[in-house]
Amino acid sequence: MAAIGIDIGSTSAKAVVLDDGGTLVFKCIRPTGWSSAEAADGLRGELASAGFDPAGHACVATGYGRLNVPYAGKLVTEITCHARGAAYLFGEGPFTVIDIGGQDTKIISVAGGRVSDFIMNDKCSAGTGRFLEIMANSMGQSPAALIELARQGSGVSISSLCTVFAESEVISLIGQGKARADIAFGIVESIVDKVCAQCHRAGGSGPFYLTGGLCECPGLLEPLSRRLRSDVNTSPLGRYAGAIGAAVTAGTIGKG
Amino acid sequence: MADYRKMWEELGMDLESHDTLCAVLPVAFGDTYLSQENRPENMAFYDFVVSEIHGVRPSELIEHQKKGGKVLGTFCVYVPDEVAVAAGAVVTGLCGGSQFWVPGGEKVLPKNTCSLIKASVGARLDRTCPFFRIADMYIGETTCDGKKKAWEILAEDVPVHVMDLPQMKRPQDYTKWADEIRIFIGVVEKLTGGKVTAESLGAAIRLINNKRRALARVYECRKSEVIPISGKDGLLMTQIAFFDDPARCAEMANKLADELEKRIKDGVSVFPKGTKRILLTGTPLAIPNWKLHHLIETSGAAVVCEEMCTGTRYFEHLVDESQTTLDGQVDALAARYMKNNCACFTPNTGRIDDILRLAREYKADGVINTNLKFCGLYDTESRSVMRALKDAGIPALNIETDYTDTDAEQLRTRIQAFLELLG
Amino acid sequence: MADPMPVTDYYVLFFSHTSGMALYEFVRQRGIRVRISPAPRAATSCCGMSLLVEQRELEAVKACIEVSGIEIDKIVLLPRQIDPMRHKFC
Repeated sequence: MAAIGIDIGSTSAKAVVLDDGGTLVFKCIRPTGWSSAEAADGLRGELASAGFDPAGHACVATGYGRLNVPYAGKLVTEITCHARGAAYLFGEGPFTVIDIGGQDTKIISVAGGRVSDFIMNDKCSAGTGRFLEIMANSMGQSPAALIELARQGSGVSISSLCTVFAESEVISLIGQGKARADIAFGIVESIVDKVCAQCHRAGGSGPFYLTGGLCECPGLLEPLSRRLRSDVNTSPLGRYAGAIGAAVTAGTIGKG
Repeated sequence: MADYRKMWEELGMDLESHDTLCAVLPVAFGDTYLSQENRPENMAFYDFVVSEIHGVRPSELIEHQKKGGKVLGTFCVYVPDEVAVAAGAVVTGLCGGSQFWVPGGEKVLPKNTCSLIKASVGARLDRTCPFFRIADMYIGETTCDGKKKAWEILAEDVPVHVMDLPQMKRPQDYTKWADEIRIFIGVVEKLTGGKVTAESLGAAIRLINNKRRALARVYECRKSEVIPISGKDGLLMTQIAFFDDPARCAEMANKLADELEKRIKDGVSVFPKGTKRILLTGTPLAIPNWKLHHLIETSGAAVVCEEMCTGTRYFEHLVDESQTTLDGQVDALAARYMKNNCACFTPNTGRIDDILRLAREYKADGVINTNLKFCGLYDTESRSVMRALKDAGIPALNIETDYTDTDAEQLRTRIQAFLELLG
Repeated sequence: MADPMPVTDYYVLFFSHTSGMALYEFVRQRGIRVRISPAPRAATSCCGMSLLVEQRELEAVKACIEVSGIEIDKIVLLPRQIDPMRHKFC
């Protein structure tokens, strides 16, 4: 029996299917939009058309919208799922997962394929995907394009940690005629600063793995790696880590 | 329904604002407490007290004042109730535990002040809590910078006496605290016109010790494998102990303990077998702050102990009852109160020892260390707490929060992830 | 499919907490399960205790009121007020 993992994040909703042997046989992603229930329903449709009706398989849901997945047999937090997903992708550990999510950033220490410790950012959005999204918006860019642009910039720093104040800071930098690449550099550095501070606070040790929607941006991996003085690796499947972890969990339930 | 409006009006309260609080309390209490199954019958008393929280006890305090008695308001477990009782005064706790009062405090305090101080100042200045109106004098202490400056603001509106708590535990600090207690005796005698004698102080020491023994009996039951009472209910008993008459408090806690001891014998637990046991450590949870307990216990774990001012710090250690002279009694008081381990002391390794001991005694599967946002002392100390727990192999989660509702879902995710980690 | 029947509860209100506690004791001694609850705002604009009575205990509680002669204000029927996942703290 195949195992299904659903991850309803604040920005995007993901589904993956692992077959009996643990091979990833299906994945899909769609924007969460304003309703996690609708996103969950959309994923169900995609799964069904691929021949994996959730009704016939073990299914675990995770992520901030996990309560809105009526067809999931069990709910597990994204912290546990990200750790299991990372262990699926990168091995048993020990290593540290940096998950920059839409709503929060998690630093998870993994050992023996399980969570050994974790921290999350507070209510504040500094250092999260949301922070980047708002800054990118104020510069008329997509987050990925902004990170790419930042690689050519230098010299600017954003001092406000508060998203609201940082946005006015960016707008005033635009007003001063600063180069767009330099402003982008300042924004990315601000996120990297905050994420690294969290890593240090967590006492996380390398190697580090980046998961979440931004995991394939070299413009984020490079500065993180430089500042952490350690390799920061990822996988093209990094954004599915939560869903993969959910499917891994579903698989263990299926086997009793 | 009983109408306390006249009493509140006479206390000079802002009835309209206060009514907002009256409207939300039943909802919060129902969701948190009445949603529980199979609660001990003796929790009925505490449900009654909450239902009449701004009515019954305030009326009793006013009756005491009508007979010429005085009421002292306190904010800290270092302030010795015994002295006030010996001089014929009644003590009531005044710590604010609701977000409702926070904006009132923010009118005069910096944003980066903890919610407890903001709420306490707000409750007084906005005139929205009868206890804050009734107290003839507030007794402050120097347990943090925020409080020290808050007393100055409150003193513009109400008489305040501040006790200078030492911040180290050298022999001279014990002497100094004994001196502070002697000064406090003078202040209370002057206020009440009563006299603190070896006889009256001895009786007060026994009274408050009996209250401590009764509270300790309930906590003793929480150590059992069979968990006869939820953490929420244990916390509620402790929170109300700060407001109640000490003799009645002991009587009710003893009744509750009788029932819990019987439940243990009969194997009656309020949680399924194998429920993870959590020791909660950190900053106090003043009534009606029930957020963390509720999130933990509706995520499938049980809070079995609070290493907090609203917990073990309130009742652990008794005052030596064998002293017969006033001087001997004051030294005994100083010795007992200085055994408390607050983060305002340096160093404060005794608190680490307490936490490790409590984790063992209460058979905790994990520790959640909580810090009220902007409490610099406990926040800084959380580093050594977390490290000691790690070294002892006890899983621990650190949570910083305040009185608002907005982080509830996020906290729930963290707590659930921590419980998943416990297996 | 029709909506399931909404769950309702009864709240017994009093003019004084003395009668409230007297009725609580009277009812409890007869093995009837009721709970002390702050009177919900939906039932009264006054603050104070009430007795929360579930549907199946209502007739027994009414009988207790009659037999004991304890004075009550009124009994109010409300949709269930308790929701542990509401996350509205005080």
